[in-house]
Amino acid sequence: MASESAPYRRLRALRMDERAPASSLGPGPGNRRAAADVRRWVTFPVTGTGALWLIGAFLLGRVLWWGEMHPFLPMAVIAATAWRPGGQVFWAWFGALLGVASQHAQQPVLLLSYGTAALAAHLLAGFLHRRQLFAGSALGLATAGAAAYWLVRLAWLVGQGAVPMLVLDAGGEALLSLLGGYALLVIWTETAGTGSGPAMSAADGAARLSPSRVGFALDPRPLTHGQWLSLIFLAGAGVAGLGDLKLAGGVPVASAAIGWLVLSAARVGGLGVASGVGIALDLVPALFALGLGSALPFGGALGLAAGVLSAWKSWVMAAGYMGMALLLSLQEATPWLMAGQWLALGLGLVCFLLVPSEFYARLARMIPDTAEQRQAQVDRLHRAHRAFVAKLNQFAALFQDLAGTFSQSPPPPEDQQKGILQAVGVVQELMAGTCSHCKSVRYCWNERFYTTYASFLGLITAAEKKGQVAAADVPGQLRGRCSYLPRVVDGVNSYMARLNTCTEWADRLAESRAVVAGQLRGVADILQNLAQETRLDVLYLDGAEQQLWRFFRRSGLPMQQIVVTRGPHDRIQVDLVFPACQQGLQCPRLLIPALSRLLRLPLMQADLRCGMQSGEQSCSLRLLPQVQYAIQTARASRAQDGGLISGDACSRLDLGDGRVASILSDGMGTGPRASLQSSVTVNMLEQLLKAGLNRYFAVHTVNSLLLLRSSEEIFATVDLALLDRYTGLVEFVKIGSPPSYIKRGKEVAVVRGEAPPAGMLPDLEVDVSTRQLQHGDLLVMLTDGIYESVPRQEGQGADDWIPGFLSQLASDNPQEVADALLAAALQSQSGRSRDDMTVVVMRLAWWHEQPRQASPEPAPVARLQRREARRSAWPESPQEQALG
Amino acid sequence: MRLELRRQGTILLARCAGDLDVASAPAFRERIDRQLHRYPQIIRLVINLEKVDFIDSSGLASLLGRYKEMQRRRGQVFLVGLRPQAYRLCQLSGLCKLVHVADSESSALARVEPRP
Repeated sequence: MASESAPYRRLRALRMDERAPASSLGPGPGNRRAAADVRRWVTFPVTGTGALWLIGAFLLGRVLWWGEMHPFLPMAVIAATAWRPGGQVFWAWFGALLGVASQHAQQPVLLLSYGTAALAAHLLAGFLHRRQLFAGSALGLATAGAAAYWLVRLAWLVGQGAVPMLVLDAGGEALLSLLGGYALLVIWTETAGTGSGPAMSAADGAARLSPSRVGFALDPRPLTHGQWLSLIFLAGAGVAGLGDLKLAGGVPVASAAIGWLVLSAARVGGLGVASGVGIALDLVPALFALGLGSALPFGGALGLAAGVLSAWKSWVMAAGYMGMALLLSLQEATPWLMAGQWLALGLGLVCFLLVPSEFYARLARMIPDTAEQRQAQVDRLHRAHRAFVAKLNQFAALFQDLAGTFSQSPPPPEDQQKGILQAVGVVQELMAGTCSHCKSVRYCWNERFYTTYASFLGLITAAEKKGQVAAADVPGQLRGRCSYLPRVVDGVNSYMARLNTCTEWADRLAESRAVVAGQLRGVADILQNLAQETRLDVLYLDGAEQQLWRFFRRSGLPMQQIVVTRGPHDRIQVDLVFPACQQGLQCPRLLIPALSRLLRLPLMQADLRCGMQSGEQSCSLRLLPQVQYAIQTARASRAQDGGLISGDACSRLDLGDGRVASILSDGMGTGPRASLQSSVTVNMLEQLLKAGLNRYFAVHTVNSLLLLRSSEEIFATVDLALLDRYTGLVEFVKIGSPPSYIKRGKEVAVVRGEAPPAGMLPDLEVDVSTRQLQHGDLLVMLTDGIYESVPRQEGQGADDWIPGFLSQLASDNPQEVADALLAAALQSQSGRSRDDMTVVVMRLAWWHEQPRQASPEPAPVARLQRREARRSAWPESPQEQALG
Repeated sequence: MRLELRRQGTILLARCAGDLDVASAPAFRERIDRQLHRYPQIIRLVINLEKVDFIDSSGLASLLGRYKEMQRRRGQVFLVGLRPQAYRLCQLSGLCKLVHVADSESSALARVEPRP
C-alpha cells in the first residue's frame, strides 16, 4: 500500500541515472528498473490477477442504475488505486470504461465525461493515498475520489449547456449514483471489521482468490465475515454487470454465472452459505432493476437445494439443483425459465463439475466455520508449533555457541614453563632495580654471573614455597657478599606478592568467564528444554472435537474453541474457550458431567480462567481425565524462638497435568533475610514448574538465579516432591535438605539426598529419586529445625527419632501428624525452637473417597449427553477404555 | 566461638570451639578470609571442628564459602573431627562429598597432597 507509484519510481530512477557517472554508457539500474516497470505494466492484463481485475472492472463498469448512471465505476477505479498503486490502475480504469462503453457505445461524449470523471477520482485518490492523508481509511479515500468524480461529471453537464433543471436533475442522479457507490462502501466498511476498509477488503479478498494462486498456493488464511460478505456482494455486482449478455443460442451468461456460483457456494460452505449466496445473487442484481430473478428467489431456492445435498457427491448435488430448477419452472408465475435458461443452468453445472475439487477444498479453508477451515486452523497451529520449537532450538544453539566462545581461552603455559618465566622476570627486575645501584654489580653479574643467578633463583624458589623469604633464606654465597641484602629480600617478597595478586585476578577472570559460559549454557539448556516441553507429540483428536462441536450446537451452549489432544502418557486433554457468562464458575459443574458421559471418560477440571472474574470476554476451561488419587496436605511451623517471621517457606502447586508439587525451602539463617531467600526460591521454582520445565532444569535454574542474585554467601535448601495423582509415583529432589519420610502403617521409609544447597556453587548435582505411594500413605517433609530436634530422653540420633516417632503414631490425619511432630520437636528443645521449624504432611487417598459436593446436572444437558453418548463414535485408547 | 589460626607454609589450620552459628559465622569467615588474602600461597585449609557442638545454616554457608574459595585456588579443604550433628549437616548438604573429612589433624596433614 505504501509503495510509491511506478511513474514516481521511474522518475527517481532517472534522477539516479543523472547522478551516475558519465562513463556508464550502458543500461543503468534505473533504466533497467523502468524497463521492467513498463514490461510489467504492459503484460499485466495477461496475468491471472490482471485478467481478474480487467474482467471485474469491466463488469462493475457495466452496472447501470437508472438507465444512465454507473455507480460502481468510481469504486472500481478507487479500489484499484488504493490496492495497487501504479500503472496497473490504468487497466482497471480501462476495463471499467470498456464496461461503460458497452452500455453507451453510441454516446462518445458521455463516455468521455465518465472517463475524465474516473480519471479525476483516480488522481485525487492516488494523491491522497501517496500522501498518507487517508492512511487506513478507505472510506475517506473513496469519499474524496467519489467527490472528484461527481464534480467532473457535473462540470461536463454544465459545459454541455444543459438547462438548469436538467443540471439539477443530472446532479441529483449523479449524487444518487455516488451515494449508491458510497452506500456500497459503507456496507463493506461495516462488515469488513478489519479496519482495512472496504476497498482494501474487497481487493484483498479478490487478490487472495486470484487465478495465479488458486491451485498452487491459495492463501489458507480464513476470510473475515466482512470480507466474505464483500465478496458475495461483489459477485452479485458482477452478475448485475453481466446484465443481458447472451451467448450463442440466447443463453444468458448471468444465469450460468448464478448457477455456477450457487453450486460452488454449496460445495464450499454447505446449506447456509449456498442459500445466502443464492439470495444475494437474487437481490443485488434486482437493486439495479435488471430483472434477473426478480419474480422469485431462484438463486436462493437453487442454493437451498444444492446446499441440502452438499454433503453428498457432486452429481447428487447437481441432481437436486436441476430438480429444484424443474420444480420452479412448473410454476406458471415464473417467466424466468425460458428456452435459454435451461441451457444456462446446464452451463453453470458443467462449469461446476469441471472445476477441480481441490479448488473448492482450498476455498473452503478460507470460509469461516467450515470443517476445512477448522482443520486449517489446526494445521496452522501445528506449523506454528514447529516453527516455535525450531526457533527455540536456534536460540539454544546460539547460546551454546556463545557459551563456547566464553569457555575458549588461550591455553595456559605449562606450570614448569610458567614458573621459569616468572623467576626470570623477578631476577631481571631485581637486577635492574636494586643491583644497578650497587658498586659490586659488575662483579656479581659479570664475573660471578652463574653463582649470582643461581642464588637469586634459589631465593625465589624459597619464596614460592614459603610465601615470603627473610635474609636467612638467601643462599650463603650471595648473603656473604651482597651489600643490599634487605632490599633484595624486600624486592623478592614484593614481586611475589604482586605476582600472586596477578595470578589471583587471572584466576578470577577465568572463573568469571566460566560463570558467564555456565549461565549461557544454562539459558541454552532452558530453551532446549522448553522446546522439548512444548510437547509436539500431542495428537489432535479431530473426531472428538467434531463430536463436541455437534454436542454444543445441539445444546445451545456457545463455544468459541474446542481442542482435544492426546498428550504424554496417552492422556486426553480437552481445552474449551467460550463466552463469559454472569453465572460465575458454574461452567465446570455444568460441563464436566456432560462431557464425561459424552466422551465416556471421567473428566476433571484441571484449570479454569473465568472471564467474569478476570474481566475478559471469554472463559477457558481445561479438562483432564479424572485422577485416581487425591492428596490431603497439612502444615505446621514455628519460627525461631517463637518469632513472627520464619525462614522456611513452603508451597503446594497443582501443575495442571495431574501432578502436584510440594516445595519446602529453608533460607540460610533466620528472620526476614532467610524468609526472603526461601520465599524467592519457592516462588521461582513455582513459576518454572508451572511453565512446564522439568524438575531438573527448574532446580538448576533456581540455583543459577540465586547465584547471580547475590555475591554474598547465602543459600536456600530445596526439598521438592512431585506426586503423580494418576499413578501415585512421587519424585524427590533434595538440595541440601533433610530426609523425607513415607509412612505406611507402622513402617517408615526414609528418602535422603546429598547435594549442596542452591545458590552456593555453580555446579549443582541434582539427584532425583522415585518412590511408589499407595492409598493411605503419608509423606512427611521437614526442615532441619525439626530434623535436628532430637528428643534427649530417648537417647536416639536425629536419623532415628523421626522414623521411630512416626511409626508409633496411630493417626493418619495429616494435620494431626504435622502438629504432633512439631510438638515433639519443640518439647525436645524445652519449648524453645532454636531454628525455624516446618513440617509438611501429605496423605494419598483414593479420589472417590474424598468428600465432594453433589452437582446436579441441568435437565436439557443431561438428556443431550445421554443421546450423544449413545451415538458416540470416537475411538478410545486402551487407557480410556480402562478408565471408562 | 573461639577460633585459633595457624599458618604453616601453604597450609592454614583453623581450630574452632563452640557453636558455628549465625552469631559466630561472620567472624569465622572474616578471620579466615583475612589470612587467605594476606597469604595467597595458602592452598590447604584444615578446619578442626572437634570442639564444635552445633553448626547451623549460617555456619554451613561459611564452610561452603571457604570451600568455594579454596576451589578457586585449586586447593583442598579438610574438615577434622566432625561431631554427629555437624557430620549430619555436612552430609545432607553434600559438603562431605566435596571436602576431605578426617578424624584428626595429623591424619588430615598426612593426607595433604603435594602442591598441584
